[in-house]
Amino acid sequence: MLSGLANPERFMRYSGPLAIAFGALAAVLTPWALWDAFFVAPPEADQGQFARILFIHAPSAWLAMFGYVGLGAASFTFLVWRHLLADAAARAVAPLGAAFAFLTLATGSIWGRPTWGAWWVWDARLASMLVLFLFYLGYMALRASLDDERQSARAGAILALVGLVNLPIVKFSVEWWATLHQPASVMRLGRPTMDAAFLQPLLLSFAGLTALFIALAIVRTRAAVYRRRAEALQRAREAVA
Amino acid sequence: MMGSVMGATGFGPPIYYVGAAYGLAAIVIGAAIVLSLLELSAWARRARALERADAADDAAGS
Repeated sequence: MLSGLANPERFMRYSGPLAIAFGALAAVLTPWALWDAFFVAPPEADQGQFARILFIHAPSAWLAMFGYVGLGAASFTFLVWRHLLADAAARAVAPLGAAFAFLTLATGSIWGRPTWGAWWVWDARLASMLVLFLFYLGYMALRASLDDERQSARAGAILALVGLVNLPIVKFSVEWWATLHQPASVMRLGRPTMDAAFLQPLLLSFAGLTALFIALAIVRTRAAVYRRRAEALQRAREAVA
Repeated sequence: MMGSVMGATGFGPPIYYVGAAYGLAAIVIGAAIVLSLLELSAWARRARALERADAADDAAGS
């Protein structure tokens, strides 16, 4: 299916309805998650109302990593098979991943101040998430700094693949080192350690924001395809004139 | 519960923190949605306008 969609014409035919479907799913699940987060989940025994921040923080962290997996996969596909659509997808996903990495750091910091007593600590999980955010920024800066599209795509793809090394560090930092950040309570082997009253809004938030992320990634990839088409037509017109 | 304890120790009421986190999320996610849709609309219009101009040139040439 994915190799079929690598054809830009076919991608443009199917991606519009797909983006609408994911957008509609997000429009249903995200308000539902917010309702549950604020009106169904009780105040947490230790953290009180502050625990509600985690319903946006944890899904943001998941999407920052999910986005980078997408960026890495698209970059690999571009480097190996030279699919221009894969490069367009990589470029489309990077700002979205950066936005969610930023939200992870910011909401984590807002949560950390009242619960840990500090806006920031040099904990392995926090530091590796900051590195992930910097990889996103570095990728976007590199892409923007090179005028030659081919060279920019190739250099960006190599940088994105190097950054993949950081993903297991982000994920397993809480197990490999003694960190202030709590260990995984949902994405772990075995059952989640969280009570159902908190798990339901969290899973709804994960699902809703993931659907939104996919919808926006498709929208941005479509924009990139239109951009390439417009630039090619413009160049052709200039060559004739 | 803990919110009132923290409020008494100078951290401020939880609503400030929860409001700041969700407000920031709304701004960032809202901006991502609006900017993505604007970008798609702008490039789609540009590409279609150039295609139409191309088609008009071809028709005039033939």
